[in-house]
Amino acid sequence: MGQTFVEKILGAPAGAIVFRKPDIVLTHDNTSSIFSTFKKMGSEKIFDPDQCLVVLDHNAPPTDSKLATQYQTIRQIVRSQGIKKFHDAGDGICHQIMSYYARPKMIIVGSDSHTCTAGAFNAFAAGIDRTESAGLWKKGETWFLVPESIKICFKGKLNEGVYAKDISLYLIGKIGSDGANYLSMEFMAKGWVVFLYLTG
Amino acid sequence: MGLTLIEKILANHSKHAVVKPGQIIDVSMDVRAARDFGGANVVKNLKDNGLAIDDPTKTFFTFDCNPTGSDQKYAVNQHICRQFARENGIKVYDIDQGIGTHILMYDGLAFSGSTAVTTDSHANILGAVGAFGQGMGDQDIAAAWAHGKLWFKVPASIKVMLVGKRPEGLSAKDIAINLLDRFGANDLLGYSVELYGKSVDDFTLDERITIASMGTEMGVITLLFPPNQLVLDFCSERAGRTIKPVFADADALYENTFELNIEEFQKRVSLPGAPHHTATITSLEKTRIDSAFVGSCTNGRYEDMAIVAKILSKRKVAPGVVMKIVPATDEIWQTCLKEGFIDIFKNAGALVSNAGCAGCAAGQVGQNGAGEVTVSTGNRNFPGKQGKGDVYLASPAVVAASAVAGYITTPDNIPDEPMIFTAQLHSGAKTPPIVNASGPLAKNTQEKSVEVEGRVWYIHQDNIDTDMIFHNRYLAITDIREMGQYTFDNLNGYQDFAKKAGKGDIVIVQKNFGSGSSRQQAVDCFLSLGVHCVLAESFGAIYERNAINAAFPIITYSSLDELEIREGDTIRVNYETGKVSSLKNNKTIQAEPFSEVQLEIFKRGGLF
Repeated sequence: MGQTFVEKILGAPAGAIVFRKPDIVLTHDNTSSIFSTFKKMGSEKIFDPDQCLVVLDHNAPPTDSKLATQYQTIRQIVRSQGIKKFHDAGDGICHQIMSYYARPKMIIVGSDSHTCTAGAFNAFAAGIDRTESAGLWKKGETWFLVPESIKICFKGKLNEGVYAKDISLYLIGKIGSDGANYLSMEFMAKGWVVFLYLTG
Repeated sequence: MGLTLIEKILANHSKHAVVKPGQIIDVSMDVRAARDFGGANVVKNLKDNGLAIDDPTKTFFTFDCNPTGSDQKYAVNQHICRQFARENGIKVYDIDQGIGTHILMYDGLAFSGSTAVTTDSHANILGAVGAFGQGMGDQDIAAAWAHGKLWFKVPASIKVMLVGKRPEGLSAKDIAINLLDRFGANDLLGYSVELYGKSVDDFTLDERITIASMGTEMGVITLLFPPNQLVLDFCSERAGRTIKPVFADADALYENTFELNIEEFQKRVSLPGAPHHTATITSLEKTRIDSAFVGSCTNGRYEDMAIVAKILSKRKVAPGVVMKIVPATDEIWQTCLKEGFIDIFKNAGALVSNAGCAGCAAGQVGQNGAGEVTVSTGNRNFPGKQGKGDVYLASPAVVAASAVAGYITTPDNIPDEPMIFTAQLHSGAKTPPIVNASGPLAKNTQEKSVEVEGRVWYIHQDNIDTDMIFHNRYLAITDIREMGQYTFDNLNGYQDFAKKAGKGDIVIVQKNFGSGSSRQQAVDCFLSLGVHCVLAESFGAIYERNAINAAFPIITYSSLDELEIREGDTIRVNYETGKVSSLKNNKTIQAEPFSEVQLEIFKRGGLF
C-alpha cells in the first residue's frame, strides 16, 4: 500500500500520532505574546533559533503605540535569541516571505491560520496556536495527528480569464468551508503535483 | 502709519482699510478646507445647524492625516466626508494626493496675500508663500464653510532679521531648530512673525516651507516670508495667472525687532519631548537609534528627498534599524520615482509609503514603541505624538546619515561600518517591558474530572468562526481572566452569553466550530468563564489543536437527536468513554472519546 503525500512527509499512516521537529516555525506580530508565554514556561533560550522565522507584517508599520512597542520588543527578542530569519515591516506578508525558505518535504508550522499557503512549495504546512509555538521554541518538536487525504484531479485546459483564485473559490463552493477539515489535499494535473494542507 | 504684512493681508480681506493689533474683525477666507481628521465633525456641525455651503469652489476636503484609513474612526470619517462632498459638489483631494496644506500651494490655491483656514494646526505653513493660513477647530471651519468668513483678532507683529552669511550645510531645519532654541515655545506666542535678511531672500520655497511649518512649535500665529521672484513665479504658474506680491509697508509698526546672526547657527536637533529643547549634534554623537523617519509637512519636500537620496545612494540603512520615507505629496512622489530616488530608497532598505502626514500624525505610517529611539524630520516630538518611544527632530541630511550609521550623526561623519546591535549590547541596555506580561496562563487550572455535568447552551448553527466567538477587536487582551466577558459577543443572538453563562455550563454547537483565525483567545475565553466543554459535530482544525493544547475539553459527536436536548437541560459528558447522557430522560449516546494525547494533555492541565 502506497503512502499519501502527508503520510510520506510525516512518516506514519493516517490516524497515527507522531512527534516531529518542524523545519520552520513561523511567527509574526504575535511573537512578543508568544515570547511572554515562552518565559512563563520557565524558558530562557530558544531550543533552535534556526527553526524560527519571524516576519512583522500584520500591522506593518504599526498603527498604534501598543503595537509599535510590541514591534520593538520583537526586534530585541530576535537580536538576543540570535534568530537569523527575521523580516521587519515592509518586507512583506509572512506567507510570501515563506517562499525564501520553504522547500519540498519540509514540515512547516506557523502561528497563523494561513500557514497552509506553504503547501504551494511542496511542504507540509499547518497553522498552530501561540502556546504551541512557545512550546516549540522551548522543545523544538510537537505532536501531529497524521491526517486523512483528499485527492483533487483537474482535467482539461483552463479557460481564458479563469485564475487560480477562481479555482480556489470554486473548490470552496463545492466542498464548503469545512469540507476539508483536518484533511490533507493533494492537487494533481498533467504530471505536476502540488501538495496543500488545508485546515478547516 | 503703514501696515505689517499680516495687517495688510487681513485688511485686504475685511471691510476695513486699516487694521490694528488687538482689533477683532471678520476675515473672508479664500480657501476653507477640512481633513479626514476633523472633517466629519465639520459635516456634523453643518448638518446639525442646518447650514449650507457658502461657495463650493472655495471649499475642499484634503485626506492626509490617515489616508489609508488604518482604523475605523478614520475610515468612517473619510466616507462621511466623501458622501457630503458628492452631495454638495465639493472637491476632495483624496487619499492619493498628499498633505493638504502643500496641495493648496501646489494647486495655486494659496499665494502671496491670500487667506486659508483648515483643520490642520500647521496651516500657518502657508506663510512660506506669503499667505495667511490658520488651523482651526471643526466649529470654526464649519462656520467658514457656511459664511465664507470668520472673526479673527489681528495679531501684533514681530520682525526677525537674519544677518550674516548662511554657513554651508546649514539646512532649513537647522535654522528652524536654532530659532526654536533662541525663542523657545513662548517668546513668539500669538505673534505674526516676518522673516527678513539677505540669506532669507535666497531661501528656496521648500526651505521656506520647513521653517514656516515649525512656526507652530514656536507658538506663532504665522511666520510669514515676503515672497521672492522664484516663489511668485511658482505661484503664478500654479494659479494660472500673475500673482501680485503683497508686502509690508516700509513704515509698518512692529512690536519688536530681533536681529540674529545666522553665522552663529549650528546644526542642531530637538531632544525628545519638546521641539524647543535642542542640542548640538556633536553633543549627541553616537546616540544609538532604532528607527528613522523622513517626511511630514516640514520635510517631505522634493529637496528633502533629493538630499536623502544623495546620502543613501550606494549605502544601506544600518542592520536592525528601520527607516520610513514619506514624500509630502503625490507629485513629489512621482518626481522621486522619475528621478530614481525610490530605487535608491528601496535599495538602501527603507520603507517608502504613500504621500500624507505619515509619521507625524499617529496612524498612517505607524508609530514607535516604548524604548524605541527615533530620529525624525517631523516638527513635533511631544510625548505620545509618534508613539511611546523617544523622538529626536533633525534635518533630512542628519536623519539619513544617522540611519546609515545606526546613531545620530552628520553626513560628513558617516562611518565605513555601521554600529551593529548585539545581544550583549542590549542585555544591559534599557529594554521595554514585555507588553503581554500578564499573558495567558500556560496551565489550565480547572478541575480535572473526566466526567462532568452541566446546563446546556444549544446553539443550532454551523460555521461559528473565531471572530464570532472572540472578535478581533479584543485581540490585544492577553490576560485570560479578562477574556470571558467577550465570549460570543459577536455571535448574533448570543451577545449576552458571557453575562448569562455560568460556571460548569456546556455549549453544544453544530459543524465546523472555531473556523477562521488561529487565535487562542477563542478557546481561552471559555476557560475564563469556567465553561466545562464544547460539543460539536466538527471543529476547525486549528481550533481543535488549540483546545486540546489548552486542556479545554472538546467533544465531537455525530448526532444528538436521540437525547432530545433542549436549551437549559442538564447533560453528563464523559471525556474518556465519549458517552453523553441526558439527565432528563436518562438516554445516552456515544460521541468520540478523547484521544490518548488529548486525555494526557487534559490531565496534565496543558501542553507544557
